[in-house]
Amino acid sequence: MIPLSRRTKEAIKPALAMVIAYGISLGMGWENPYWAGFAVAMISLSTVGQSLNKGAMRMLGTLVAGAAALTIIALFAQDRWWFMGILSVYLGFCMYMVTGNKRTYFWWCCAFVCLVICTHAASEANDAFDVAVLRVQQTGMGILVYTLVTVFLWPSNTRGALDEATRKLVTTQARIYRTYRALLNGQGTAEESRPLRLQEVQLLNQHEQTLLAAKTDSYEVWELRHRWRYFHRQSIALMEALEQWRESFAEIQPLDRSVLLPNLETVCTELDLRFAAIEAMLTGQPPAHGPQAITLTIDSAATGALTHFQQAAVAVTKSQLDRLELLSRSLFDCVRDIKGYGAPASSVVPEKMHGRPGLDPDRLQAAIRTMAAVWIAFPVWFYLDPPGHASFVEIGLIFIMASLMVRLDPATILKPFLLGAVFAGVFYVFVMPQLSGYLQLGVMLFGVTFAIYYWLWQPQQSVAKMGMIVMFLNIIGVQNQQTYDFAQYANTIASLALAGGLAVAIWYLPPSPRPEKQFLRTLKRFFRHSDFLMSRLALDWDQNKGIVDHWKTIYYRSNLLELPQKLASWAGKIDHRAFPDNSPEQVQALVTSLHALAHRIKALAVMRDLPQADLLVKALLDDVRAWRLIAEQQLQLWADNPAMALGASAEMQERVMKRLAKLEARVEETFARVGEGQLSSEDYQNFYRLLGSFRGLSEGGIAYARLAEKINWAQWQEARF
Amino acid sequence: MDYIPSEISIGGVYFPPLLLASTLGVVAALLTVLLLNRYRLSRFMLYPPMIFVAIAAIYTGLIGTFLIPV
Repeated sequence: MIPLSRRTKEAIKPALAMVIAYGISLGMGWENPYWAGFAVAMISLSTVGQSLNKGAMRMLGTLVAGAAALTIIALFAQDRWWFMGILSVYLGFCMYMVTGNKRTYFWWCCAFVCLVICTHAASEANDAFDVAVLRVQQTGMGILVYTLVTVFLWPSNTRGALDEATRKLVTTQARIYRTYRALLNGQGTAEESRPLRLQEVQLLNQHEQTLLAAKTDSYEVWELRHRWRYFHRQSIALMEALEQWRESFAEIQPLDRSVLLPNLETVCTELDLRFAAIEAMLTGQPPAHGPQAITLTIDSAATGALTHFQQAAVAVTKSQLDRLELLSRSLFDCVRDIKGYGAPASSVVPEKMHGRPGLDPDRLQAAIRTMAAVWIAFPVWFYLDPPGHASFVEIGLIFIMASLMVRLDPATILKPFLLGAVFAGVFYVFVMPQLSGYLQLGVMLFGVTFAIYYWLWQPQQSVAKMGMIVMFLNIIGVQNQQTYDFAQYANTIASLALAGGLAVAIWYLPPSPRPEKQFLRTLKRFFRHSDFLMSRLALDWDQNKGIVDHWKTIYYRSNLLELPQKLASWAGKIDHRAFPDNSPEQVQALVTSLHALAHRIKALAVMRDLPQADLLVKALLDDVRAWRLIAEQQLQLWADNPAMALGASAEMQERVMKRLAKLEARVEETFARVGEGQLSSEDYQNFYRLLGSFRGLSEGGIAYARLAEKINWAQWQEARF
Repeated sequence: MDYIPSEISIGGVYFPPLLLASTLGVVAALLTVLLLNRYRLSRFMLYPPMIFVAIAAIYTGLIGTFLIPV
């Protein structure tokens, strides 16, 4: 038997499923067999679990969309404006959900299948029910066929992939920890660890996807799914804790750590051994080292000789290493439990629920753009009736929705579709009229599907693959009574080009979709949110002041860490050739500093929530307020216009440092006045952690200002085509 | 008014002259905006996407008048 490569096998599966799905559809005398073909094409992924997941999402989405479409048609069949209005609201809602993080593909199917049924019914309402049922039927059959093919033909289980993804993730996090440990001891630079940090984020995403698939196709993973999910969440928490630890190095590095933190090396070595033991368990070896609960101790005599801010830095380091200790122990227990090397352990780290109230402006913008697209496309169809008629609306809206989903310019998505249309035209005009019978048709379907999947096999080619296969199936338009019409083909091409033009036009509706403009808008939002949060950090601010303020605080706080991620995503899409003054490295460093700033503000907010002694609050209220006002003023300046703040970093640094020195002096005075027993050790610790957060935030702001000065903001702000 | 617009045959397929004129107009506009971007002249424009549409319309009008009468 000829050994086949993985790439060949993965191309044979959809090709075979396509032939069978078309065969069943044609054999049963169903119309539009390409709908079954679409289902096969869309859910074909490398493992059974991934395909089953996507298939289930598609089936459920199609059912919901069918019900929604029939309801809209039943209620508003006689009034085009109501019909269009309600459809636009429904599509807008779906697109809001699509641009989120959960069940994206389900919402995508809810949107586009409803659109397909509604646009069909808008021109021919009497068979809307048949169309909806046919769509559901064909989709279900396509999914079933592909699932059976992938289960019986070279089945590939995701369990191994999950183990591998977990091992890689743990290894990377352990390497990051060791790099940071060396960094703390003055070896290497933070820049050197950047590739590892990027790899960590990628591996976390990969782990999440693989876990989702493995739960479906592996019984063992399903049984332990709660532990696996817990492991994933703890890995994210570890990533954040490691970052916060690294960001605090600048404050602790100048101090004599061996004296202040006598067991620092022991704690670090224990953590190192834990990571090594987790790595060993993931490669199938029992752990050689059991985790010992260990706490970082502070030498109080040596710490007493430090300034208050230095004491605060020591307190912050302690809290961060304690957190790392807790997280690594929890990860160790979790992996030991999953791998069966010991008794089941209860979770050590309590998990916070991340409920996030409020609407995301970016997602809302996607929803509004979709609604605007419906309100433009339908009247164009009603009054101008361009080539393609209903499909002009259908394809145009699908293009714009797909662009919003994958955050790609519609022109980029249109290219493979046009190429696919030309490619399919060759088969439609020259090959298909020569065919007779299902055998010959099946050979052609198999050959073309195989060629497309074999040629465009890399993950980054998925848009091109979809464009090619969708246009091929659409243009050949296989039916039991096959007819050929060049005018129809030419009309399809014309409607595709026009619909693409419509999508591009809508894409460029304000606000500008250019990545650098999106970056600037997100940056402004980041500083506006930071400014708001800072104003709520006053020591005398009443947290129960108003429900709206309270709600906004919760929303901004949870949103703040997401914004640097969005900025990183936009930064990656900026065409740096057009802006030679801002190199990708500079922009990346800027984003990293914003991430650090967000962590500092969040840490300050957490510290602000800790109980503080009234005595200290009263004594330091004015000085802390003065510091906060400087910080707020600077954040407002950055929010108004980042270019305006240029040249102000030296002045800001001077003002902040002066204010911190004053604060330090006031703390000194206050502590000198405090009598024996007036403050507990917890009061001191909480206060030092709060003080450490003030200093950390000040330094984070100064670091950002230095990097921002090197950016040519004016160039990004210029209007471009 | 002496010239009567007629369809253009390419390989036996008849295309309306406006389709070709507008396609060429869009291509010419694309080249123009590439140059405007390259020499940073776009910064003097208030809303570039609308300017693109205007340039494409002007080119289509010129091509439709002098090259491919529509």
